[in-house]
Amino acid sequence: MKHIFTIDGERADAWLSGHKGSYRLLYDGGACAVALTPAATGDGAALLHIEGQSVSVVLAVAGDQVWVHIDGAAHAVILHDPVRFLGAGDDAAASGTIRAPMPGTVIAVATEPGAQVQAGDTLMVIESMKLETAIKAPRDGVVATVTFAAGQSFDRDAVLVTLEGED
Amino acid sequence: MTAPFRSVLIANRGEIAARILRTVQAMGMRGIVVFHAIDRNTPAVLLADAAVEIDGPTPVAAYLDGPQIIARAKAAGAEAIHPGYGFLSENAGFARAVAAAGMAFVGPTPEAIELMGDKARARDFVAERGFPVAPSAIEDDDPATFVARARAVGAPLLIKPSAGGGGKGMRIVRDLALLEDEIARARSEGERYFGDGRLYAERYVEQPRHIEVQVLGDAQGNVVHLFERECSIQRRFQKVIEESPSPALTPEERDAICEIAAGIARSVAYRNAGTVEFIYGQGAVYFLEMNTRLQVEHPVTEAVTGRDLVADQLRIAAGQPLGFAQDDLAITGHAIELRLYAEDPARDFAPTTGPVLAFRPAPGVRTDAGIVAGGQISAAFDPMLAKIVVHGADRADTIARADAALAQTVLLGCVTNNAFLRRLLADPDFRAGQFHTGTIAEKPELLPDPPLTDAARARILGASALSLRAVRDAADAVPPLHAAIGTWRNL
Repeated sequence: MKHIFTIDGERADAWLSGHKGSYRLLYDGGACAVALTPAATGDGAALLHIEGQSVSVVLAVAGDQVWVHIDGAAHAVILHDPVRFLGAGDDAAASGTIRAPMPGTVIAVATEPGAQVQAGDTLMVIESMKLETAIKAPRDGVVATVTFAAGQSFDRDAVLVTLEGED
Repeated sequence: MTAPFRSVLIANRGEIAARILRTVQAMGMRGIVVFHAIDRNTPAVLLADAAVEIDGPTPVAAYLDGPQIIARAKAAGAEAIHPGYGFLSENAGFARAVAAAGMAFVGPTPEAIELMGDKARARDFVAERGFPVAPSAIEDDDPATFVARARAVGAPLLIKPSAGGGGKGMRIVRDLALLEDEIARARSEGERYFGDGRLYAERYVEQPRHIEVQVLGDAQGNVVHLFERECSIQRRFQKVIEESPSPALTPEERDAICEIAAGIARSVAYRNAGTVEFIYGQGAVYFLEMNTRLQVEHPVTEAVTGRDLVADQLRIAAGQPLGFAQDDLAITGHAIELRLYAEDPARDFAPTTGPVLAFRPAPGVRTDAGIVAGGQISAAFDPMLAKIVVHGADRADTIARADAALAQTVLLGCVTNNAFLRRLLADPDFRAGQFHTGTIAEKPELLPDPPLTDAARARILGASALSLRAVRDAADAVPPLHAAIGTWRNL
């Protein structure tokens, strides 16, 4: 079964086919035999055997997310549920759901439910790691909800403000 | 030599708390750290001889709570408090309160902190003693007079809020016909950000370089400089890569700028470690400000001079003399510091957070880190995770070592600027030493990761798919296999 991954945010489809303890990786660019030998250190270090080569990697798994350090760089890989991934054509600008681009704290709220706003209006000012960011209206509309008050903290992708209606 | 104190409390967090702790313990002193609960799993807390919890309305507020920290220090038996950088390090009131509580403040005198903390006053003080400052105008009461003074300074002109910092509200005026409009905008931003619309204007140096000189002074009146650092590689007015010596200076310019810095330090009877910052460009050098504390980038100076600046600070704070003279100091080789930030360069350096699933510094390289595997990267503090400090025979050798160190530094669980730093090191202008404070902003092509090759994508997919399969197989396995599965569970 084909799996949908994203590597550093870019989609990549692949799957493993297993046979008697070894695996073949099938992906958009082709197919090859792959195997992984974990190091005895038990700290995520391993040797990846692929295309006749053995490459040092460091791996960490957290749920459906894998972090891979390979060839001198780290990559974030996410295995997606295909139904949810393919159904998630949600365009924030169109839907009026404004999500947090990063985790942080609300510094100031510049709007309230019922307020008429125009695209580009500042709705909220947030701070994350000492960086202030203005959260702006993606389109004209009327504010439906403001989820957080000044001083409250939130995670990345938390809904900060919603606008009424779906464009 | 006996240890200057029996015990020292470190009023800070992250990498600098761990770095100060190392020297405190190496000198045979007891190292005590304060920590907010959010920092329980950090190197300083894990390595300290004693760790004392502090609290506040926010984690940052806890580290800014001078009275609470002084009370904890007294209770823990500390004889001195090292404030690190940021937080309470340049707070004259805190320095006074530490002394009043019968402990030594590891930093300069409150008077020096106050004088240099007021940028306009510091600038006047320095100018009156004949040191070079950029032509400037300060707004006091009358806005119309300020416009005339700013016009007299001439273009290009940098206007900034008097109360400002961090680049907020700063505007560059290249056409004096737009001066009044730009002043109005800067005033509005100053009022919005700082509640204070008064402005400051100074001659703007095009493509400026940021060069700073490390100084040390003792209570006996000895002052030395430890040469310069170049800190021009910045994003959003925050430094990213620092090095020593600067590739921009001729030996004659180096001598001149270092002598100016030492002269400024002498003129304020400076005690302890400090840094005199300069703007350099078009053949001119201007005093910018003096930072009355240890700086983030002090390790490059330590690398090329062989000194431990924290050890020097502690001895000076105990009243001991420097013990060496200017002629005893020399630059050996070249050093570069790389700041590993929790941020995503491809998203305009947006902060990132996450669990530290793995952290493995490069072998054989000094890495001052504020994180450990199993910790958490929080949005409560600034995004600096670690400093990678490399020392080589010359600049080219150091750049090569720095790139190798970045490639070997493993940090999994959060997006960092590691790959961006490697692209900066590979940039031909950086390698040629031809850059300025706006270089990163001028090179947006360096921000995103380049597309993966098919071979690289296959490797990443293969490793990921196999490790996910292994974790799932392990979860489904029967108990006798647990020992073997343990290894896989860590993947």
